[in-house]
Amino acid sequence: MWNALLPFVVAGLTTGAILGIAGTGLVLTYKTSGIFNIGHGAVAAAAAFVFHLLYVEQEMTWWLAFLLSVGVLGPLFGLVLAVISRALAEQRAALKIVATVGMVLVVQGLATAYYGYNPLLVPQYLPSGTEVVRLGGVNITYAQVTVVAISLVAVGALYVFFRVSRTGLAMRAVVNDPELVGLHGTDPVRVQRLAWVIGATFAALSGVLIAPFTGIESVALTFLVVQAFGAAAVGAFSSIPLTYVGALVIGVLSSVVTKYALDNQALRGLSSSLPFIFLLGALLLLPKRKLDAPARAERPPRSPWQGPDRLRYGVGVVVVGLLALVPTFAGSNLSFFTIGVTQAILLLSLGLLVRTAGLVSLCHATFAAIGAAAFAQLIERFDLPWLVALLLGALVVVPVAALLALPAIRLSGLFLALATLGFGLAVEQLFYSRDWFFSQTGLGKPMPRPAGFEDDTVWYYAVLAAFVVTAVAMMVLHRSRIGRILQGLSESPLAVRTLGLNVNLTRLIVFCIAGYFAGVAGIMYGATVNFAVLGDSRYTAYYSLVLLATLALMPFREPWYAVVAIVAAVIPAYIDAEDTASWLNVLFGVFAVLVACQGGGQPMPTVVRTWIERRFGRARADAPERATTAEPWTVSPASTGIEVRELTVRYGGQTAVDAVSFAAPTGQITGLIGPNGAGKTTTFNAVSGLLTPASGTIRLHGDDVTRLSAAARGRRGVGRTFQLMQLADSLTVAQNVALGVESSMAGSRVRGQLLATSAERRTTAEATEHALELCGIADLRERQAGSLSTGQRRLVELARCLSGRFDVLLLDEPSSGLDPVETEQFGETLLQVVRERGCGILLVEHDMELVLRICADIYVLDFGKLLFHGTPQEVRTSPIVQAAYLGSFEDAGVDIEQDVIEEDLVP
Amino acid sequence: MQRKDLRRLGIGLAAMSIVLAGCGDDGDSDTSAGLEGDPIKIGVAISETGPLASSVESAVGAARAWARQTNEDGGLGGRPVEIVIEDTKGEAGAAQAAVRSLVEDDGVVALVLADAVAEGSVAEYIAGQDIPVIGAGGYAPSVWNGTPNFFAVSPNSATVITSLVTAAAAADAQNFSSAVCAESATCASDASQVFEPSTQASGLSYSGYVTVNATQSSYTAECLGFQEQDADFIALLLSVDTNVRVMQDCVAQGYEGVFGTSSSSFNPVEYSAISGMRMVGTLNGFPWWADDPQVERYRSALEEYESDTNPASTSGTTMWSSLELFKKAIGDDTADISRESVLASYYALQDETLDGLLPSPVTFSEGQPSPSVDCFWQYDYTAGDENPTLLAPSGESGNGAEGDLATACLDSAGADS
Repeated sequence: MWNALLPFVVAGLTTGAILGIAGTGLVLTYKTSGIFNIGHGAVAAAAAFVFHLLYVEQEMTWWLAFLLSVGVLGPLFGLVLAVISRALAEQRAALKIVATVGMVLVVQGLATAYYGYNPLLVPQYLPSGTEVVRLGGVNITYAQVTVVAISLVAVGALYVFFRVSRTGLAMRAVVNDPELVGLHGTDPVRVQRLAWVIGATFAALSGVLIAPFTGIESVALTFLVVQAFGAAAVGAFSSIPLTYVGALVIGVLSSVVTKYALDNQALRGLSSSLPFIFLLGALLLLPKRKLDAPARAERPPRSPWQGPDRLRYGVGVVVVGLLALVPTFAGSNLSFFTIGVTQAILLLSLGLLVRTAGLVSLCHATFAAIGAAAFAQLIERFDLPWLVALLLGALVVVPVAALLALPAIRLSGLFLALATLGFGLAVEQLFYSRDWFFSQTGLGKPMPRPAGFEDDTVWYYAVLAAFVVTAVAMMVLHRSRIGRILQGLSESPLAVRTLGLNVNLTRLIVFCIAGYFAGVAGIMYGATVNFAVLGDSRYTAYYSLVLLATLALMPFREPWYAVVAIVAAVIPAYIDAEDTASWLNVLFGVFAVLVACQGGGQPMPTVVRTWIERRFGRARADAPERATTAEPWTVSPASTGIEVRELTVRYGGQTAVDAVSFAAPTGQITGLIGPNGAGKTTTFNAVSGLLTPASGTIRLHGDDVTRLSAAARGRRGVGRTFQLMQLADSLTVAQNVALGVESSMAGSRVRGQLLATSAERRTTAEATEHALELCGIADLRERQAGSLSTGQRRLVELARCLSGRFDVLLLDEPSSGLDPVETEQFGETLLQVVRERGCGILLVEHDMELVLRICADIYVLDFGKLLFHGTPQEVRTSPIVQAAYLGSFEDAGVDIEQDVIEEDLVP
Repeated sequence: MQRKDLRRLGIGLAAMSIVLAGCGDDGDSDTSAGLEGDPIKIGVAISETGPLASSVESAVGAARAWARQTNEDGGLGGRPVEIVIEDTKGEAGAAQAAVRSLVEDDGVVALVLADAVAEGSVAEYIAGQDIPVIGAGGYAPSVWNGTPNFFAVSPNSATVITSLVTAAAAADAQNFSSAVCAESATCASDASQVFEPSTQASGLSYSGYVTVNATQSSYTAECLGFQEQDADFIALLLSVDTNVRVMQDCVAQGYEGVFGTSSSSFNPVEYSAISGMRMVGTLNGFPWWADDPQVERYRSALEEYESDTNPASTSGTTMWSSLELFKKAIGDDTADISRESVLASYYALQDETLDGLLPSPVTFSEGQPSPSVDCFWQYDYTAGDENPTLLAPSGESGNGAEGDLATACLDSAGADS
């Protein structure tokens, strides 16, 4: 058997080597910049095109063409990418992905505009390239051997460079903390630039080396490099040698599977989908800590301006009215408009995922395809009424989408996007050509229209009706509880989790809803073109990328951003030049990169806003409930507070918290203080459930909650605020505060997450109002959280904790960013809250004055250990505490007088 | 500072794109001076652009050259002919718009449709418009042999694919295998259903098929698989470029058997570079290398009026023969030409072969879809030859022609007759 397999193994090694070069460059740039360049293949393609221009068209000698396209163009691209990456560094994941997708569109558009869709053939240029040597039962060309050799040398050299050189070390450090690297005398900008130069050169190298084997066609090359993502996944996106090995493994396995695929039709498509299965598998199976993005603060999304309701409805009527008039002027171009409207439905469902919930999904076209295929099967086999088949067909997508919620649970941002991309590509390769999906026939599966709707104009109105229904559904969703918690989840995921929301259930629900509407859009599109055919561009995985880029460009709120889909679909009808589609792609790509670099679409200009507000009035929130004077929640006597025993937390070998024990009972404020790095926030995270301790117990009101999730603890009464504030900046203050009570009402229940009963709405309004009054921010209730000062935001976070049934509040440095007056007021508020509600507060603080004034009991940590425990007066006078904060006097070499110390510590 | 620069650069690029997108020309028509009367318009809906445009490239040139030649020779009964070309872009939506705009042009009396991807999306609409579709090529059986008003003059893609089995038998192959395109149905077209029964009927053994992607960097594994199975005929249902690479890889592994491919993918210009390659296959349009005068007219028209178009392609020859049939059908009395009159003229045709330009005699009956055309030209081509050689049919010639225009036919069992 091995003899039979050996030729396939050898053949697979050569393809794997090329994948290895591509994957290495990818991992390199990701490791050093935190940006995963989906457009890596676009760089490869661009270099290959330039090589073709020089070697084939200009007839240069091969090594000169090689040198120019790899050695000159590669670094040039790298420098451009370095500039883009600097602008992208602090943007959120969705925008990073959009920018790299934009690169793909630009290169693909330029390439097809100049060279058309046919691959350019490049003759083998490596010396003795076409001569053959027999190895392991298969004929290998010297070109293939050379490629493998080059790949080994290049990757090996890079690995050594990383390990051994100072710059290499700096490269590994810079992604986590550029400022820190800068402090050590290395310029982080220069280091990142070098990384991009090397990465882009690797991409160029892989493109030029592979050109004679595959021909040059930019989408194909891009997807070849997407296969390298699978290799990168095997290397856990960080190890270069493992990435190379992963690439070889993928190459060999694909080759071996081909051997069996000839005999066994069930294996059809498996060989080409292996890299994507690897990608998906690795993302699901790698230990989570390997996939955590480097902890750099991301810029929050720009809050879209909220117009008054009258305006929204007015605009809605105008837009729908205009769309209804289309058949009067479209003439023979009507089909473009109809398709545009179906894509608008698709974009609405994608927007629910990406914009509202903040989940970047790159397999939306696949959902559409599954819906279409299911519909075709239902019509063909069961002869169901059309509307039933539509509703059921879209329903088939729901379990598939639910399946994708699984990676969404453990992944976020970039890795979720990659998992969905891998999924979409795998489904495309494995299933699209099957008989029960699109089949391989030229016509595909018939997608009939309902009886009486065969006429194109009548059908257009049917599609328009579906769009209106979807748009209305989206608006309803946004106004109901699911909409509110999705926005909370998108902008302050940690907060809603600790407030009691089962975020996994939320993600599941939103994927299911989005999948359903995507299925509807796919069916409507198929019925517009009468057949669902294998190869239709709107069902391909590539199109999911285009959809995401399109979505990113629109700054408007739901549902208006979907209108861009109609515009995009219709442009080729009116600008009817040969290359319209290609130049459109270039346009999209350029805008996508620009928009992503500047942090998202531009908000409505102030001039326009003021004009609108003058004409139509401001957006009005619901009138506030009369604040009840009675406390909505009372702390029961059985609630005793938090008790922590022998808590130990370890990070990768280091002990951050060592056998710490303390208690934070209800009815008082307990302080947790210590110098920087003492382990206070870590302790907090362990108590609230965001970290798993190595050992120790945490008891809440006498019950052991050590094993419970953060959300479960939230529902039992543990509330917290965050050092890096977790507020939903685009929501109003009242909406943010309401999240406190709504998150725990939603909890783990499907109905609870979707809708609020009228009783719940009343309770929410009352509790919100009371919390706002308690914290003294009732007059800010309609302001957007993102527009407030730090002090006000701290109060909003506090109010959020107070709106829900939380009896123990964990406050993480709540006074940071406040001036002394605000700090004092804040302290008063806390004392009042404890007095009125009887809850307990555990306070981590740096402001000694505040701590000493309001805490009944203080614990002092240093180096992860409990150093001291006592009353404020005891802490004030303890020499142990002083030493911990100021260092020992002998070391400082300064003679500090006792009364100076006392002055610092006593107000 | 960087952001502003980026923005300026972006706006510049964007502006440039908009301008460039607006440039470029439409497909247009040819009229000739010196002829009287309103032009007789034939609408051609074809994928001039789009991913599979290369497979119908020669058709556009052939249509234009035919119009120029016809008008030079005195037009259609003295009236000039005008070809109106609309780009279907290889995409269903654009195809619907293109076809609609041609149908709504009252001057257009007949349509030619050449778009493998989009023909399904427009078939129903056209059928309801009482306008004849007179060619060219034609892919899906249910469209060309199953929809009224479609006049099939060449074998559909299912027949062509089945005919590869007869080609294999003609090449004395024993073991039939195939590589089928994974990304697009137009390459694949139902191969999975067709090969197993036909090989059985022809007495060849069948060793299955693999799907391949155009994006693969090597087809060595697939070629090794064929070798393991001792395949000596590999039917390639792929695009031209992918065919080139597959054949190169298989020849490099020592494959000494025969290849076959579909009609639209047969490109001897590209294949001539693969030394050691031998191909036996099927053409759905007349062989462009034949010495017969009617074929010579085709070549000289292209050379004179559309010298950039490659004549060595069945997309060109099927277009030419479809248009020639139109000319024959409407005859010399062209004073009152309308869609109805063209339909009537086609129903009046009896066993027409255009002296060998059509693969089998065509007769159309009103109220019934076109009968399936089961005859085709079989060729044998070795890389490096100037032209392929036509394989003589083992039985009667399907269209009655001799020499390079003789056709072979499938009998009802699917074997060569």
